[in-house]
Amino acid sequence: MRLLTHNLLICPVHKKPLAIRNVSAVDIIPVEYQPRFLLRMIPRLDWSLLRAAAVSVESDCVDALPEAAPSPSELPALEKAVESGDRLPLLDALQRLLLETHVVGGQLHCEHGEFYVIADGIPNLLADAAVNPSETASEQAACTTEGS
Amino acid sequence: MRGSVPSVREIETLLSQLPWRQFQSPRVHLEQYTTPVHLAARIAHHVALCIDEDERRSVQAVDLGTGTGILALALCLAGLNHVLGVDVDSEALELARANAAALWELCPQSVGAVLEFAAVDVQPNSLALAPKSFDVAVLNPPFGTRQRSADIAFLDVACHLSRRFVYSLHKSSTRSYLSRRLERFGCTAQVYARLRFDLPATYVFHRERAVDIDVDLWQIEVKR
Ligand SMILES: [Zn+2]
Repeated sequence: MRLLTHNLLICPVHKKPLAIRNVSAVDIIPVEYQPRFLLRMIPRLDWSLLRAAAVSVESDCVDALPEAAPSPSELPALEKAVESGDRLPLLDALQRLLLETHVVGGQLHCEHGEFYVIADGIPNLLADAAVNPSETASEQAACTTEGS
Repeated sequence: MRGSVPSVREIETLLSQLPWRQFQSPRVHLEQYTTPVHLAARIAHHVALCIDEDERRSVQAVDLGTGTGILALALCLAGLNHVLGVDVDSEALELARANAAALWELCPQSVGAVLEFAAVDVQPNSLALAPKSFDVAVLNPPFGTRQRSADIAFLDVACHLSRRFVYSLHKSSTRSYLSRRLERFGCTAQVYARLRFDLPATYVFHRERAVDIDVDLWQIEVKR
């Protein structure tokens, strides 16, 4: 799962953004530089979610991401720079994060407590595949009591 | 693969070499049947032609109910560079990914495509995708032969997700109903082509042979 895809996903039950946690493996796979696509995506991105994701995967691009997304009034200047062939640190960071950083194993946590598993690079966002840690804990407790 | 759109034939030839062109054990209640290769090629070719050449590589597309990924891969071959394939069946997605790997071997120019898969239920209540995240949504929905209006639920989801275009297949017999419904939503919709879909025998009650059904390929321009 690329971080681009992560930014488009929400919890199937509560419709909230999901936090990446307990990352077990990350792949970096370079692809062709796509500044026009990245520029197009900027206004649609959940920027704080992207920043949090960059931290979760311990990306070295975190520092290249400003606190807030470039505003619509800043975009034309960025477009101009791209058309004239400039490499912008912001777009380099977005290229690396959105298109080249893959979470191979990990979890997607909803603020309501349940989480969804990313296995083999494919996130499972089915409501009935949600893992509810409190239920799991109480089930385990029940098993322990039975066993003793 | 850059620039002009490859022909339907070229796309079809590549797709027909993929290892998983059919579901191994289709789940009847989901009305799982793989989009025939020639239909996938035709749909993808049409979608690509509808998007300006200089924009084609920077639109984000979603394939709803991607199954073994045939339509998603066809879109990549047609020159769309960002495709997300989603399906409720995570086992099918593993086949889709194997198909993608096979395609990259056959057609190294496509390796650069940003193709992703995620297990997502394409139903309004359990959808795990943010609204208006995509420029284009394509779908080959269940035709509703098992579950009534299953295709309409898919279509509603597609219109909720896409900013611009939805391409969808529906039984021709539902044409006037769909047309009224889409008009009510304020969408501009037209039937682009009438096609024959050879539905595998699995899905036809009390019949042993596969049947052809008439389907329409709709192009829907979503209200902004
Ligand atoms: Zn939730």
